[in-house]
Amino acid sequence: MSTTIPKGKPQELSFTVQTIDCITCSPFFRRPLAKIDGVLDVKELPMTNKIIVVYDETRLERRNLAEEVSKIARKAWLGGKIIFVG
Amino acid sequence: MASDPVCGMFVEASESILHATVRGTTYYFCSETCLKTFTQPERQLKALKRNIALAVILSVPILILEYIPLPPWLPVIVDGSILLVLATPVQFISGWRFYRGTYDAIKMRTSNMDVLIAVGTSAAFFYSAINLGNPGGWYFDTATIIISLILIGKLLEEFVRGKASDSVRKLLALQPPTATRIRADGTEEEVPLQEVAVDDVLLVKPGEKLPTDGVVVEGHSSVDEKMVTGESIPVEKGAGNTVIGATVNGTGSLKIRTTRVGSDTTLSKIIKVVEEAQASKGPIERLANRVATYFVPVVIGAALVSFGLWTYIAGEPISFGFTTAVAVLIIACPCALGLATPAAVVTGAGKGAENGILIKGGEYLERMQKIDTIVFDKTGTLTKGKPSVTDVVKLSGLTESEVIQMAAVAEKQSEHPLASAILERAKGEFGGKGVPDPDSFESITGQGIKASYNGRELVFGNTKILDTFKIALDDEGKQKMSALRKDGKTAMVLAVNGEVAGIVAAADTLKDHVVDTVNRLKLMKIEPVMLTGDNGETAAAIARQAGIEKYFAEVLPTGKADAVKRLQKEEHRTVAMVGDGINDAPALAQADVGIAMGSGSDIAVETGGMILMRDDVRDVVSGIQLSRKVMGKVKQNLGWAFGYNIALIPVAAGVLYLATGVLLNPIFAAVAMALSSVSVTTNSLTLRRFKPKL
Repeated sequence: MSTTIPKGKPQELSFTVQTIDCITCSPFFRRPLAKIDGVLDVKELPMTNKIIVVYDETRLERRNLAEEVSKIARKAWLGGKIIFVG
Repeated sequence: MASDPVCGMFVEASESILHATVRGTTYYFCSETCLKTFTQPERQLKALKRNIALAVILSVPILILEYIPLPPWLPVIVDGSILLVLATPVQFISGWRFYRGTYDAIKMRTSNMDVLIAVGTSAAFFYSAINLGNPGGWYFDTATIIISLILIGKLLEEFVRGKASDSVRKLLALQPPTATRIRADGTEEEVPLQEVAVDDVLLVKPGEKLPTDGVVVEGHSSVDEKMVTGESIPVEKGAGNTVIGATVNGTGSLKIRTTRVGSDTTLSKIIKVVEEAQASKGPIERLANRVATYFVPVVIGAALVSFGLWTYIAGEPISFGFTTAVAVLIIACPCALGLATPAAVVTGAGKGAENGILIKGGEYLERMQKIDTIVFDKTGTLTKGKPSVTDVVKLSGLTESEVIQMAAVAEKQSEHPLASAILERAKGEFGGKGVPDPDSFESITGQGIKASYNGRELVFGNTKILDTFKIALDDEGKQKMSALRKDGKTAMVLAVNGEVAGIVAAADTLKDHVVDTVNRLKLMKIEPVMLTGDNGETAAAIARQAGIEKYFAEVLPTGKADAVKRLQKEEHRTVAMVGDGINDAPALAQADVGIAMGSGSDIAVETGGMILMRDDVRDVVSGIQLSRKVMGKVKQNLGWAFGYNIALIPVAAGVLYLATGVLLNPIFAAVAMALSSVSVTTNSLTLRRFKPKL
């Protein structure tokens, strides 16, 4: 028997990373975030140092995603240098 | 009351001692943690300035000591040691960010710009440190000046980048921080914008900004919507009219019921489109990003090859090979490649937003410059979407004014769609008294109206009504009726007391500036095409008036997307579709670029790649011109970024030395590198001068 996971409206989590200002740095976040189950897209806005994670709220909780972002930031010595903006 | 920008908590502004003023705006915080988090970017900037000051202050004596001979009695090793002491803080304090970035990159199994700078300057520093007793092996000045210049370049880039994305900040600043809410008992309270909910009733006093989107429930005023739609003339608003948040109320007070708040408001959607335009990657940008991914390892390889070739194959001294390797590492700049497109797109998207044109991103910009066909939906896009009286013809007895007066009296109680057009036209014909009611009124289905007024028997409708009442239409009348129909107009005949007195014709008329727009498009070598559900005769007439040669008539709403597909597949055209309604959404999605007009329906806005906030067809031309300008800048930027790296990496590797004996000093490589990102961003800033040519 198969179960269908209900699809919710894609949600967004935005944060800025002041030290990431060049495309060669953006894989720091893009790669590990893209691997998380429930993450649908990772948008990079290099001019405003912002990263937007689009995720499926039925598969991933916002709080858990924010924790993952903080974990990646800590791993890359960026802890405290990220700001969640929405 | 203010809202903490970090956690969203409400804070009593007057009591909070935790506040920060950034770019003229004061923000209040609930805790020190929130304050620190918020001010982090400012601290980053301050840290960068401190590091630059340290690097510059120490680099100057290093430069002097390396080139001015010290007293002969001083051992060389002492001179070298002084240089080492001066250079160490620059290398490891000012340059710490490059080591940290390198560590992060290695840990993430990738490579970045910092790797190149850290490897290049470390090579120069450590090579000098192990050659303290040999002045020929000192490259302390190279290491410290490179760090100073690259940090200065970062600061300049930060500044220019801030200017380029200023438009997003300007849009954010449009929102008022508070709103005046009317409680159920009729009293007023001032609340932070975040507390406003849908269906709240807000009071907007003269001169105030409207806090959010809504509908006017009371009052009358003119509202300046320029900041959101680009429309320079204030729009009159009264009960029932919709209003947009962040626009400015004129001289009257308005009470509005909110319909959208937070991220659903028009302004929030505009900000999102402008900001995220840089995230949408077109084919050119994807290529630049792919190149940047492999760029750093390739450059490190090139530096090693250069060192090996000069030292072991050409037999030059190690210092020579070393200089070329450091220059190669330092001059390479993948960041310029990465910024080339987003810098131009963000600046262009911001300029577009100022003019009421929203561009959704690089992908649409690239497609827009390739379009050769623009399909316009007729109703609501090319035409006003409601009929108006176009011709009043007198045939016998009455004057033109009397013909329209009698037609208006006859239609006064009619519910026919054309009645309102006739009443509108006749409004001024009764000396400001309004159209009087007929003494009697009878509607004859499918034919027209029979009425009486002041002893006159009025018959008004199509030619069938004349047959019904056995009224003859002479040849002149028949000819006029036929000519009007050929022009796509609906012609109605008026008979008074059993004799034909005149003809009134009405039609859906072209919007202002349609003909200019069509001509301008043709000059831009773009063929305009019209789509309509009307019959062939009406479609031909409207197309002729607009100057459009190609049109599709009798297209059902569901067939619009098929018509666009046919142009794409059978005629191999690159098509933009301009529409405004919900039934245009499939066609907007099918087109290479969908242009949603007049702020349109939500669906059209979601589907369109370009959104025109104003109901002005000329903005189609402005949007295309802006797209072409932005793409021109993107190409210039990418040409510069690619050209810079392709041309200067071989120069840094010593290619010029073979022909001219000139070798690039790594310090000049650092100057070039520091300016490369700044130059693409500065070039993009010229888009802020864009003015549509209409």
